[in-house]
Amino acid sequence: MSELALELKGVHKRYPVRAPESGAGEELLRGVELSVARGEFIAIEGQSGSGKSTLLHLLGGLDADYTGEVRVMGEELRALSDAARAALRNRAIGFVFQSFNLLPQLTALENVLLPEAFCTTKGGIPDARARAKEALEEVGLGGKSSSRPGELSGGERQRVALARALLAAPPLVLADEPTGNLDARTGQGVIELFQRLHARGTTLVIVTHEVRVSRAATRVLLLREGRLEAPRIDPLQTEGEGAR
Amino acid sequence: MKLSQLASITRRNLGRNVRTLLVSAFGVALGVGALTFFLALGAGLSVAVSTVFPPVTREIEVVLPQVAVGALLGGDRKLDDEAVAQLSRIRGVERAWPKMTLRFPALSRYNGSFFGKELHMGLEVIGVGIPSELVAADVKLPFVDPGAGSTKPIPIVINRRFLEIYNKVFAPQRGLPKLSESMLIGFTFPIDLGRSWVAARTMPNPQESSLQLVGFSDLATLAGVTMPLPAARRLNALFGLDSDTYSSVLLSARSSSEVSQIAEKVKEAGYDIDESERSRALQIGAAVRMATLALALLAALISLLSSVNIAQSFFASVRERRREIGILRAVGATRFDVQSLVLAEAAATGLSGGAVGLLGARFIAALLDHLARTRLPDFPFKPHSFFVFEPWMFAAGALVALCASIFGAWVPARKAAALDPARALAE
Repeated sequence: MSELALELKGVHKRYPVRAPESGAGEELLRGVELSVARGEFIAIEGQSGSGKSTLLHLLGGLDADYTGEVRVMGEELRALSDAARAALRNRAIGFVFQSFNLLPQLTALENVLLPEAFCTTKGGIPDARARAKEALEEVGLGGKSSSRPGELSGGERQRVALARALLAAPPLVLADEPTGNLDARTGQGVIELFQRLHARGTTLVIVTHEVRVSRAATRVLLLREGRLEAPRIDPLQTEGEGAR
Repeated sequence: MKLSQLASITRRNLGRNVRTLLVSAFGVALGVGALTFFLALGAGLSVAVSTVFPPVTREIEVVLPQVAVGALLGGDRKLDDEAVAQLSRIRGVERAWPKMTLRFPALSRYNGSFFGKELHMGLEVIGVGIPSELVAADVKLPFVDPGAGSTKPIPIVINRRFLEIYNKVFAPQRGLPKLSESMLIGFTFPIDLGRSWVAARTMPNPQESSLQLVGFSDLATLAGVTMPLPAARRLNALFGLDSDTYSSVLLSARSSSEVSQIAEKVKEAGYDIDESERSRALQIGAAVRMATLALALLAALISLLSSVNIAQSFFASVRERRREIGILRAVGATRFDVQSLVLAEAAATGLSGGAVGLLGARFIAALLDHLARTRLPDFPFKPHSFFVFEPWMFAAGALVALCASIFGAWVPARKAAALDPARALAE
């Protein structure tokens, strides 16, 4: 098994052309190189529109329209079929989004159990229901398992989304601005959850604007002009700086 | 994707989009309801028609040609015992039944009590003699010629349709009692053999006799009374008329598939076939089938339109749920899972609509039957129900509902499956 959780080599990504007369689409990623060891906690910063979310979608196998090489847990994503990429997302990757992305018609518990519906491994996720309840307990929502997203606060919804990402105990969690819609106190709670996950050996890649998230990470990268680079000012050294 | 999970998510999604569900299901309900209703109506009318004109599937009535070519050429074509034997030897013929009409006029004059009502009636009687075995299953009393010199009445059999016409038309108009078969068995009435209302047709030596009703049969003549063949033969001889040749011969085929081949052989032998009864039954049956087919096609068109309606609804639904589809893809749904989910929702919508349509068709049919029973005047052969619902019709209705919904949702489902999850989540 590869020691690297993620490996990107010369990854280019161009936005699809909206109108043929407008010529080639804008190139968002221009030769991204990245290696993430298992168990690392990476924070990726960058300005709005810099391609952070696009990069995260590539890492999660949600977008296979790129050039270069993207390896997740040793698997080159473009070499996988749609079903194989879906299976990889299901068992090896947990997603957390800024806007929570819960299904409003399902309860918190059912939302957490959603990955189980698409699990193709024999027997599914072991003890999925019990694990879903445990995951909700872990994020502090054991008493709200039958609440629907509309009945939960923003912080609670994000914690449900986090519990869903943890159901299959994935080795990799990808988060896109997970604290972006939360107040400082709630956001801090989510960051602490990420830290607990990191302590358990889960690989975390978090796209963020917030320095407090970056501070929790073991490595911070900046996405600028389509490439990943180390930030000129290390956020770990910038005491007192607020969210960027 | 696990079926139980698919069902659960489908149920939740449909519960959220009740309005879409209702609009889409309504079209399917209309199409499937109309289809089932018309099929049941067609089947019901077929049954009603077959009561009036029983389908003659294995019998052929052989008669002499109206203008016999043989006679013009000097031949002498006859329906005698030799002809009967010849006809019975045709391949596929199970049995040949000779029939002989009474070749003299007969008159029945009834004056007296008729089941509690005073009746004064006279009518010309047409009589046909047939072999007793032909109606053996239908007679309740002996159906044998009492013979010359006997004072016993001549046994007769009457067509069941005749009794229906009497009960529904004649009896109400004349204030006479309605009669059942069992009431009439054994009823005896006088007959003047050789006598007619038309003086010129009356024979020189009319005879008085009597007829006794011994049974009702679909094989009896509709236009008169049917008696044992030996009686018809004896009475024709009594008046010095032809008692050797037959007016027609009924051929029973071994199977209905052999009827056309037998008919061909009969015509080759120089005889004709009386197809009036058979062709009437076939024509009316064909007319009912054509009408049913036309109405079923109309219903199929409605079902097709319901497919278009479902397609529109699901296109809109997929557009609205792009983000949701992106979420499903993010947690591990394949394109096939997404397609299955949309199709399952469409199938559930279609089957719900189909169930409503089937129930609606059944309800409207029951309502119309009730109105027919209570509001329509009684008429001969009025069916108890104009509809016959058979299990296959419900199965066909459900299948049409399923196919219409799947067909309608197919393209939206493919579109949903092809959705780029990254773009859907970014919206």
